[in-house]
Amino acid sequence: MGLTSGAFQILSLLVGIAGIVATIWLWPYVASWRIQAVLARIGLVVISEVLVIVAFLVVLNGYFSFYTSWSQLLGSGAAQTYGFGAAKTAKPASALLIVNKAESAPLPGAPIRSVPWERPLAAGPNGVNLVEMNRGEKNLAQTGELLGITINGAHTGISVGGDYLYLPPQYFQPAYAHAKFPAVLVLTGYPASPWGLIDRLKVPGTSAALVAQNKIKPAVYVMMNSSVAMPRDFECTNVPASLQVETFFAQDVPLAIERGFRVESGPGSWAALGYSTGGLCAVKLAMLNPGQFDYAVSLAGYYTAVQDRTTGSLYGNSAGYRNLNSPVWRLANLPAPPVSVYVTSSRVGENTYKGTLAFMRLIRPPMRGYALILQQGGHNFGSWGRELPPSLIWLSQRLQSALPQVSGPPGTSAQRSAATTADHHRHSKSGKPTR
Amino acid sequence: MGLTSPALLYLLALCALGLLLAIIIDWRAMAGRNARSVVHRAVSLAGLQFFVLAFIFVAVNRSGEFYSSWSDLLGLEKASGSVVASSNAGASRVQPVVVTSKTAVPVPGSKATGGVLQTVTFNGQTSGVSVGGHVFLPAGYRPGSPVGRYPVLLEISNNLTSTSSPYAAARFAETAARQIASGQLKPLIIVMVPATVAGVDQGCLDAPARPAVGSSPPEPAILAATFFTQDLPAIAESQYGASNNSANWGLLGDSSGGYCALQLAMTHSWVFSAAAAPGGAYTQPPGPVVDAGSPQLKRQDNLQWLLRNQPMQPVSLLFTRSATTSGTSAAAGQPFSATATRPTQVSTLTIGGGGWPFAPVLDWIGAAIAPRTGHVPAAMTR
Repeated sequence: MGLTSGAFQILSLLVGIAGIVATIWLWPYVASWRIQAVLARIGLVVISEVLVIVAFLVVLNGYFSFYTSWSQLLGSGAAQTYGFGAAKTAKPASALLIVNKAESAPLPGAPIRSVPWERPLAAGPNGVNLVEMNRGEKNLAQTGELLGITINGAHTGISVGGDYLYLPPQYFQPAYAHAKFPAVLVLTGYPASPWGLIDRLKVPGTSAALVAQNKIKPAVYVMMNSSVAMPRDFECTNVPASLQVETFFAQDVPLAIERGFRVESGPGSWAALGYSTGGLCAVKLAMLNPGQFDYAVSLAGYYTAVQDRTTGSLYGNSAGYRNLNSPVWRLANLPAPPVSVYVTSSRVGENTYKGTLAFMRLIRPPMRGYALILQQGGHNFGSWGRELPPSLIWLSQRLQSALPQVSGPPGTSAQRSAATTADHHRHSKSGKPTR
Repeated sequence: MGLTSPALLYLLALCALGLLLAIIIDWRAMAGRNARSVVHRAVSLAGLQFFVLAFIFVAVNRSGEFYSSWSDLLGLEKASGSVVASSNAGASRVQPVVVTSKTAVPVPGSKATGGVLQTVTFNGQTSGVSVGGHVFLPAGYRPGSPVGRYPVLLEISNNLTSTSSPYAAARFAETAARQIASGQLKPLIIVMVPATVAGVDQGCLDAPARPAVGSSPPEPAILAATFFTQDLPAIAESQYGASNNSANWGLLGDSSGGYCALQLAMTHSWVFSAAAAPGGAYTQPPGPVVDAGSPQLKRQDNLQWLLRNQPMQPVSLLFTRSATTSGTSAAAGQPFSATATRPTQVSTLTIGGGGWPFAPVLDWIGAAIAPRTGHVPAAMTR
């Protein structure tokens, strides 16, 4: 039974209620002043209390999407990840990207149905039209599509499932049939599940609403857990002689997405966005890979290289290597990279506030920084939900946009950009000004 | 009382404890079997649950900083914030490449000109590394031609300015001009850079900064790998019209540069797809230790460990063996050829003496990185 399944939540609630009922039932039997009776009373109350607390935590976990499965909570999820240190035979010769589930995307304001996982529906780096295969009778040109995906890292050998890809309605409209879209890599905090990006942060719903209001241009959103092997927190780090998580997000994920979908690969076409730990990830990925991610959005992120109980050893016991993973240290000691970042925090209620201001003070050209500071707001989806629309507008003003085909002479830029669908290129940043 | 104030936490704890005590003491008064007593019990227990759960919620919320206030919790905060921008002061742009001199490259045994050899300084934007080097541009080179952008060979050697070494820039350029003129090598750009950057021969690795230890002064971080894998490709693409596809980028090095070439190809296969180096063991980088005392960094700097433990990368490696020296197995690249499986390919090539020992190596690498006509199928290009 799933950790976040409705059945398990109901079961734990029923057990909690049963504990209370049993206490009320047994009450008269322990009503004397003998020591055994008093101890029994305390025992009854404590046991019913514990059962209710467990039910409370189960429901809270479901609401906040901290851990979505028993393996994430208990740690057997690491088994699905290969990489440095694992036998190389563990790496299957698999497709870069596998689609496990395809559904119409949730519309703004409409209730969000969960997308259950299924066996692989489609797979392939090239040549397979992953989307058309699953189109069926659905009106994707109105809703867009939400795909459950597994990505197999070509360079790092890291393989993760349980993540999502959102294709906007325009992706399916005839005017955009040959257009390539910009992409935003959206990363969760820790601990969290990617589903929270859809039903709590509401990335697809918010972006669809903003596109409909003509405030942003459509983009493809790749929504992933920032941890590639729950319950460990990797802080998007290339762990020496172990999992190369930074390379996975900076190279393997864009490659898999560009191979499978009409996603642009040129300069200004990729951004990273995340909340909390995902915010650190977004900024760090851009600063270390300015040729891949031109823009980063950090909702209530931090900007130092963290190591704690949940991360384990991340930096090979080297203070110097740890510094190279700290955005603050890099800005203070290395040339500023040619990227633009949008960071958010709150004056009241965020312990990231001071760190955000300190980070902003270190930013200098060619890097550009913009900080959105709320008067008040805690470290929660309520605050991030307020910060998301201005963040997406900021991104849309900078990202390359997908160009619809206008009626006119052939050879429009949309057609040209779609001409080389099979080719994938590194970006070339030299000489490009940042905004 | 604020949602995150300690007073609220203490108050809830006090209420929970007080109620628990009251329930235990008043137990008998509620022990009747009538409806009134049952309701009394239920209400008491529900009250206790409320205070305990409220206590847990407030405590967890305080430690996690989830909700900052009652209005935050209830979703009443709607105000948007203000945006501030970072300072734009100190905006300055360094030229990514400064050309200090140009010489024509003769085609050996002919009067034709085989191209141009530039002497340049590269200024890496992301790494901050500045290093002097050379660029060979083949005969007929036109920058910015949209079709068939030039493939690039990156030669890494500390002997670029030597007068006798076949790795020397002028002699290497002449070898390339000769092979191109004879049709055995497709035109390509050759970027030549020493393995020693910022005064240190560190195997082209990103060396972390080191604090002062005893009498030795602190050393800044030297991001050689960032320079070779991000800055140089960006410069070659934007300034020289080079291909930005890893399928068209190769590496070649001598002793120190050989470690560089193999290391960069094996760890950045989205930038390079082929590398040639003299046969050897390559279990540690040349020069001073840059692993910052980390056994893990030391381990992954061992190229044989890397080959055994990371997934096979889509790169072709060529180990050269001199015909004149008696070869050990390591000299033939044996440890690598024995371990590598697809998509990594390992080849060996025996090179003779003579005037142009690197001609066959250039031919091999030129074929490996030459642009395919039309569709590029399987290469990893990122």
